[in-house]
Amino acid sequence: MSQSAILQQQHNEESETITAKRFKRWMTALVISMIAGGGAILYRAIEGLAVTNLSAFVPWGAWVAFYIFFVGLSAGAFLLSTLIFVFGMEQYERVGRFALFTALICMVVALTFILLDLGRMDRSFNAMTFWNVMSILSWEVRFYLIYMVLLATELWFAMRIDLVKLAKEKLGFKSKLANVIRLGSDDTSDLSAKKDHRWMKILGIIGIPIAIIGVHGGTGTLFAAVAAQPYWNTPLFPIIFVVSALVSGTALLIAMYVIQRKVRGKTVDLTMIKGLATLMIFFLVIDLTLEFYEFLVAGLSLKPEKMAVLDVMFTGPMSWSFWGVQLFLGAVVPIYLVFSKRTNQSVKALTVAAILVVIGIIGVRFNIVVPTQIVQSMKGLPQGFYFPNWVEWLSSIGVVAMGLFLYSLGAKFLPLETEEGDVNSHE
Amino acid sequence: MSKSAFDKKLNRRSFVKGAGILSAIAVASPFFGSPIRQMTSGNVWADDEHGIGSATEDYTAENVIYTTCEQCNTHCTIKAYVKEGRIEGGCTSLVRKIAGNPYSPLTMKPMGQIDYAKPVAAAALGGGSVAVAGRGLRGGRTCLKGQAGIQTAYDAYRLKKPMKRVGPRGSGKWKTISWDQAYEEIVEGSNDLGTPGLKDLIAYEEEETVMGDWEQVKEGNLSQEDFHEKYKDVLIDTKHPDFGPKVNQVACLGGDRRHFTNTRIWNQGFGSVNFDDHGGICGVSSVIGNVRSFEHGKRRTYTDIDHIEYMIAFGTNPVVANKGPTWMAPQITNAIERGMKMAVVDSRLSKTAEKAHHWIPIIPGTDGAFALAMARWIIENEKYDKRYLVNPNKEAADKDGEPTWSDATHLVNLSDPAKQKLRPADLGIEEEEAFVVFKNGKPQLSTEVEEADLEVDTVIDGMEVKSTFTLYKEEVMKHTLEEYSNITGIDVAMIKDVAKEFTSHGKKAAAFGYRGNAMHTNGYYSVRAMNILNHLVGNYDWKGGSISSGANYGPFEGAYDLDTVPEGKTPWGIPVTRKQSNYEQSTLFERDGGYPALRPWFSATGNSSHELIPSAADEYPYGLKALFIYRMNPILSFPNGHVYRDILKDEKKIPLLVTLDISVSEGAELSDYVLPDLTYLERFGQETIYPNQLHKLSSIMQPVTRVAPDAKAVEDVFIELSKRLDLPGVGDNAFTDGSSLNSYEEYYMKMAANIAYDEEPVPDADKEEQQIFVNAREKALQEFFDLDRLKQAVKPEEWAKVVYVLNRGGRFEEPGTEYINDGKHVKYQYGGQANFYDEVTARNKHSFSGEFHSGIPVYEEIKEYDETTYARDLPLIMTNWKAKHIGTHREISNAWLREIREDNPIWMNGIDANGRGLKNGDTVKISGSDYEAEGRVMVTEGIRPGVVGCSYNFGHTAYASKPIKVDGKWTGAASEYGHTSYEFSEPKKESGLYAKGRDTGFSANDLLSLDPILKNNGLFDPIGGSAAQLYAKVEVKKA
Amino acid sequence: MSSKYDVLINKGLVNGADILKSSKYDTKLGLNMAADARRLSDGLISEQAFVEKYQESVGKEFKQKLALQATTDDQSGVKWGMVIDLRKCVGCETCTVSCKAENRTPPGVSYNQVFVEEEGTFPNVSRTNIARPCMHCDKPPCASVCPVRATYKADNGIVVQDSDRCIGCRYCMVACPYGARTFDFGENYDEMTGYQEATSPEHGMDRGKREDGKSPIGTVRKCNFCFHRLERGEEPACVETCIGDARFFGDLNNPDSVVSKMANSSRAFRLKEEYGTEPRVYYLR
Ligand SMILES: Nc1nc2c(c(=O)[nH]1)N[C@H]1C(S)=C(S)[C@@H](COP(=O)(O)OP(=O)(O)OC[C@H]3O[C@@H](n4cnc5c(=O)[nH]c(N)nc54)[C@H](O)[C@@H]3O)O[C@H]1N2
Ligand SMILES: Nc1nc2c(c(=O)[nH]1)N[C@H]1C(S)=C(S)[C@@H](COP(=O)(O)OP(=O)(O)OC[C@H]3O[C@@H](n4cnc5c(=O)[nH]c(N)nc54)[C@H](O)[C@@H]3O)O[C@H]1N2
Ligand code: SF4
Ligand code: SF4
Ligand code: SF4
Ligand code: SF4
Ligand code: SF4
Ligand SMILES: [Mo]
Repeated sequence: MSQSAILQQQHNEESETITAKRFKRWMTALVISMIAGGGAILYRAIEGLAVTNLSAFVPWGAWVAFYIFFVGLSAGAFLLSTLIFVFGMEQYERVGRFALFTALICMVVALTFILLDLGRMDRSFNAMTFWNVMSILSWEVRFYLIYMVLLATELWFAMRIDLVKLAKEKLGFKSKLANVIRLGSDDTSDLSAKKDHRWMKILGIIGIPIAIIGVHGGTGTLFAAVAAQPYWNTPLFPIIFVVSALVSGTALLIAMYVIQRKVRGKTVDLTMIKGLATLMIFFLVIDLTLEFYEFLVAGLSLKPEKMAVLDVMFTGPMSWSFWGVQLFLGAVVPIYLVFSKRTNQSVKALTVAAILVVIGIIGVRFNIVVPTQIVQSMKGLPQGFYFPNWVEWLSSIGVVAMGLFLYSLGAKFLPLETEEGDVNSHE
Repeated sequence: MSKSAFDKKLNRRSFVKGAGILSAIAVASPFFGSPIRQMTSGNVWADDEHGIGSATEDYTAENVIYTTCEQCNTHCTIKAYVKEGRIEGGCTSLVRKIAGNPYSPLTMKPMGQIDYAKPVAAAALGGGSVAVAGRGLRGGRTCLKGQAGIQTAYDAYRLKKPMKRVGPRGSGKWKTISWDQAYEEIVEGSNDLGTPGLKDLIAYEEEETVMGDWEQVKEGNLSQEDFHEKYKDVLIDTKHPDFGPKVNQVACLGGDRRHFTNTRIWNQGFGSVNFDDHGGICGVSSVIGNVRSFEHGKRRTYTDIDHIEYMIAFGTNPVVANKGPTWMAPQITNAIERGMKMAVVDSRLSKTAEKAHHWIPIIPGTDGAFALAMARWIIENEKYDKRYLVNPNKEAADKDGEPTWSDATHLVNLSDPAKQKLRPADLGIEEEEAFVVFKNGKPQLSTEVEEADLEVDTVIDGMEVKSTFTLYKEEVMKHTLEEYSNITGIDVAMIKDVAKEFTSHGKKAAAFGYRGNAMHTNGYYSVRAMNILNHLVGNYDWKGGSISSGANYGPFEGAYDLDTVPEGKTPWGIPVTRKQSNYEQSTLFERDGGYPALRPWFSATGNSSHELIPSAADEYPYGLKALFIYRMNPILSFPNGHVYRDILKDEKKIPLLVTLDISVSEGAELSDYVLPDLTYLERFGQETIYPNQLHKLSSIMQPVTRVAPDAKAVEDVFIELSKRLDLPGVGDNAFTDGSSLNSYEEYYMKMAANIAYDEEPVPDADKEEQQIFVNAREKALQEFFDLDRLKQAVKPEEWAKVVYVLNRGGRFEEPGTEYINDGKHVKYQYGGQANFYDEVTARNKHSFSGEFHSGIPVYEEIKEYDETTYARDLPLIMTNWKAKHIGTHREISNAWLREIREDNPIWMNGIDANGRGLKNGDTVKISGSDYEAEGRVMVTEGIRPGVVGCSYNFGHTAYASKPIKVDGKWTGAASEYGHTSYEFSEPKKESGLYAKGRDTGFSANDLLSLDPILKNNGLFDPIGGSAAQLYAKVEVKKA
Repeated sequence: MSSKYDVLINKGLVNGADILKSSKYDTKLGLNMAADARRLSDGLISEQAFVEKYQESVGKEFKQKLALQATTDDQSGVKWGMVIDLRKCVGCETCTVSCKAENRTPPGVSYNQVFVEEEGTFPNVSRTNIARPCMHCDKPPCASVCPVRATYKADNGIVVQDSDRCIGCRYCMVACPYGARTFDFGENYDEMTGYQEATSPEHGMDRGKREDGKSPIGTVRKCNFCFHRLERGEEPACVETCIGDARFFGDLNNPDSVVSKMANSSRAFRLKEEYGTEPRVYYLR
């Protein structure tokens, strides 16, 4: 072993202990958040929705916003993975499995949110038992399940060879887990790898319409189909949903990738990040353009119901979330960060841009869900109000923590990283 | 439905339910079956039936008791559907639902009541057809307040036990005591509270005895000292024997059951003159304005809505207020449907005004001017019914087919300072029953001519005389239409329009009014002026005209004389409120040096209850020693409640204060003792309905459940107190037939017998009906139903008829005979003389100036006691009204009603709001001249600029709106509902679905101005006697 | 028929057989009758056959004759509808309160509301009072969106809300263009003795005392046209008591009914017709 190799190893060991410590701290923080959130959830489960700020006037709130946010993230992440596995954009290969895994976890989180939101959580299974062909939501429930199975399968193929290899190491939990998950498969031949890739491609191809039309477009349609909410009720709405899914999915992957690498003290692939960031902004700009037309058409058509919603959004008590969060933090700043020569060489800046985009999309989701409900469908009804209360915030934190917890476990115990060493171009 | 083959009434609920579930499972859809079936079914929205069962909660006559609503003073006839559901310590049964009584015409407009003879068993099951006719005829209408009445009885914060205060009055601390202790201390006095005992306060002596001796004193035959010695223990003041006996210092403010408490207990039992009800603040000026417009007792103006063509409502809101909306609203909407036109004179767009063809947004307090303005146009254009007006007597009227006539042609002697009508005696003719008219250039007896001159202005025997019509015309002509327009704020064109329309429908046009035009300082005159509009078209007793009616089945006489107490006392003396009392004839006139009187005297009115407490505080004419209050809320209902509160708090002012209530209300809060009464759903009662229906009817109130086991009916409390004080009218020999009165139920059973036996007695209730009677009450009242006690109150042969009446909630004349004379006239008529000129008023004097009032209605500005025009340096005029959803102050415990609107926002026109930078819903400070309140503003175009207003039914500070301490423990308080902190509700919008607490809004009465001379009371109508509650100067600013 | 899903449903739903056992009557008979009742309603056997088959045993068990339903109170074919005359509606909100009293809805749940629209400027002002129950739309968006078909259109025109199936997702609330749905957050009228004891058998389902965790708490609620009252021969509570005499009810399928005639008058219109929901509540302008 050469000197440098030894040093390297020492360094690795050191950084591994640091990483382990960090991981522990991270997981502890998550567990605490989960316990706190779990408390809120328990409280909500016992006392019902009366402990939230939801009302007859604004029946949908934070949990629904988070639900569509995470469905969006999932779809975005998945679509990104298809760029790699279906369209062969190898330059993003590094994030491929993460993307799939992220997509899966996001769905778990999304469904947890929607479960939380049910007045009768105990009856959630009714959603499977009974089927209303007219109800997009009914279809969605089924699409989500199919989609999740598909994600899991594709991820399995993506990891399969690594799982088999890991299982053979017969060392530690990770290996044991791999042994279980590999489901008896032990072929690591190139041929089998090719087969895997073919499967992934097929699943990816099947997945694209499911994700676009079924999962995210569907979720958008869930809103767009509601004639009673004129602000939602436009054909552009599902498209905006898909595009903003791509925006947030890309942004999330950038952020996750960078953070993970950094935390583990590993190098970051700047070229890829830059590429992804540009992609993100590209999606963002389309998203903004579509939204612009939404507002423009709504504004020009002078439909009073639509104007009323825009009025709430642009000037209401929560308009800060539109101007401040959605537009400034979520769009203007990231675009600047990605395009400005001063910042676009910095992984940090790009990561910040990605995080801001994610936050911006949370704003987008809230602004989709809430303002239209503030305006009542019947003129004589009083104006609604809504802002999540502590139960909703805390439980949401808990659920997100649960997602991150699962993700972190996955990142630790599953072969999500592609093996091929480190990247060349360092920061 | 799979239940199809089963008899509906199977009580084998679990069997059916189980079978239902299984059959549902049998077709439960496999994963894909269901969507396919959904798509191919032909209706994607349909589904196999699920979530539907066969429970209907059906009921029979044994669950139904018909009674009377008392959520407001309308007293509608209602049906209570009562279900088993005893809650130990809670209630004997559950009142499941209230509806209108289908036997009663009041609550069945326009379908008409069901046959009175219909067996109760069948009536409870209904008839009709929902599918085709849309009516099952099992129940009728009530208003929303009536619907919510359940929550009055089942208010968890009700007063349940007798309590005495701990600490000073209004401390909010209480101790529960037994009934026995309560009686004992009220009768004997309480050492710890320092309250006197009734037994020491009720000295009484006959008027004749006292006044006979007083005559002796005046004639110098008896010394003042001897007189004093003789009567010092009996009279309030031996220098002023006209104050009457000491017992007059025991007063009562009572809201209902007046025949019992006033007539029987207060007057004949105690012998006290000081019983007052809410008349002085309700509508006494309206009543007096009516009474004085007719020769004999016509107290109300109502119209035959079903056939009228043009109707003018002066300051009344019959579709949601007045008495009562339950029948007047459907009558009005159906009348409009058939083409009736309606004008509504109201400063704001009331719910009735919304339906009007002419909304006349008058400046408050100027209704008299508007009526005179109409009259000017009518007289100038000779649109009055001359044929009617020239009839000077009944026979003349008869010949014209007119049921009534007027005094338009009668002459008034203007040379007499009191300006009385010229009498035959004045001309030296011996004739009591006639007036003098002018005809063929000479005076004649009104009874002797068929027609007389309408306009007379002449001198007879040196006496300047004018016909009442001339006097009226002169008054009317005092202002031009333009001037009237300036006074009232109504365009000349509108005045003309309304006057023209009013006189274009023959007898099928009428004006009626209630509080809006009456409860002002000039209310009496305004009401008079309105009445004369009807005189001008002579619409009385005509189908489609102005009606009287009010026929009933004599509840108080007949089989039993309920109003006469054997060996009862005769109350006498000047009432504290100086109602029906003449200053000049009193001993105070001399003491105080003549005019002005220190406080007003109301010689022509029977009620000025708003003066009771402030006068007692000033000991004018004398102070009170004990005051009983029941079913009245002096703090919120009278003007300037904040002043009343201070008076009542002062233990020295009225040393014994007892409130009988169903909650610790604002008045109860300040009392020494509060005694729990039964709510209207738990007791007997009988209240008369206003004469606005063409049927003869008498309803009865009876218990339908019991929620507060230890509560007692007010009557029972007074029976017990009277017994302990050995007063007549209770116990043995309480009635003229020698029967006893030991429980208040006996009184009402006798009343039911009276009703049953009036005219042709009702049939006997058969065995089945009698059984239903018993079963229904046993279920509903359990141990509180004592059949034997009820039965023993009447003669055995009467019982079956009593049951018949009680089983139907009263007695109701069958429809179809409302009109007579080929359908031209109504059956129940006034049939008397309508007066342009009121002699009684003309001979009465204003007690400040000593000047005579006017016998002809005049327009006056709003005035203070000293007759100066009311003015305060505040820019807005504030008026107020009845909330559509709350009745007086009785329903704040009804969360269902609080949900409808949470408070009483102050209405303000957009112009005024803009000028003040106010937006709809803003919190504002409303400043009157003597008080400041906080509320919300409602910006609306439905009120005239410069005027603001609100409903008066809010502003509670007690009534479980905050906790009190009972037996050392804090009670709870009704708090607002809703799980979020958001304030959804907004004035003008539908409510936010959640009731707020009970202390929302503010009391409109607090904002009224104090009269500078009285200092502890507001303005009032010196003739009609009412408190002037609808006019105050205020400013409204952002809080 | 006993697929996996049936088993699931069997588990998920209350066990009918258990309930049958708890009744003192023959469980087996119940099971058989239930199965045949299903066949009957599916048209597989005739009512005649059903009656014949069970007449004897029902007679023995219940001491009562099982007979063919009398045609007189047969409401099959009835399609309920309501007409509200805006000219007559005085905006008193008696309908709202009577509905609360009849259906004993909790705080925050109201099946009927009355909206007031003010137009014009002083003194030319008008107000329209629009009373709004559920429209019982023939094409109900609430039923379209419901993922579990907890709300659906019944034969008699009523849009049923099955509170035993509803999962409380509130999608229907968002989708109803008339704001006719509210959610039962489980609140109670604490200031009212007996509030939880007196419940209404909505849709003919006697749910007994109102308790936490029990339907309909946690589900969406709406006007049911007072189904239980209709079944016992009473018009809806709001119709019975409407003091403007503005609300009418009846069978819109029957051309002779009061409501049919009104609904066909030239004054008739429906709210938000542009939504294509085809309400069964007509208004007269
Ligand atoms: N909902 C409801 N109904 C009730 C009651 C209740 O409290 N609530 N109370 C019952 C009782 S006790 C009574 S006495 C009756 C009273 O019945 P109403 O007299 O019909 O009712 P109010 O609201 O007192 O007054 C009627 C109208 O007068 C208007 N008004 C105010 N000032 C003026 C004015 O100067 N001129 C004119 N022309 N109009 C004016 C008010 O805006 C109001 O609309 O209602 C009974 N019915
Ligand atoms: N400014 C202004 N003032 C007004 C009016 C107005 O329009 N404007 N309206 C006036 C009119 S019309 C009237 S009639 C009066 C009404 O005024 P009040 O005669 O004072 O009647 P309520 O306001 O109903 O108060 C009755 C009180 O009795 C108690 N109570 C309720 N039910 C029962 C019961 O069953 N038994 C007993 N013992 N007590 C009970 C409750 O504490 C309730 O507060 O107010 C008048 N005051
Ligand atoms: S009007 Fe309403 S509150 Fe008044 S008595 Fe009639 S039903 Fe009761
Ligand atoms: S009104 Fe609303 S709740 Fe009623 S049926 Fe129509 S969409 Fe459904
Ligand atoms: S809340 Fe209930 S009825 Fe409404 S959509 Fe969801 S499951 Fe269906
Ligand atoms: S029909 Fe029945 S449930 Fe519907 S609003 Fe009327 S009272 Fe309420
Ligand atoms: S009860 Fe009748 S009049 Fe009153 S608001 Fe309702 S629909 Fe209109
Ligand atoms: Mo009154």
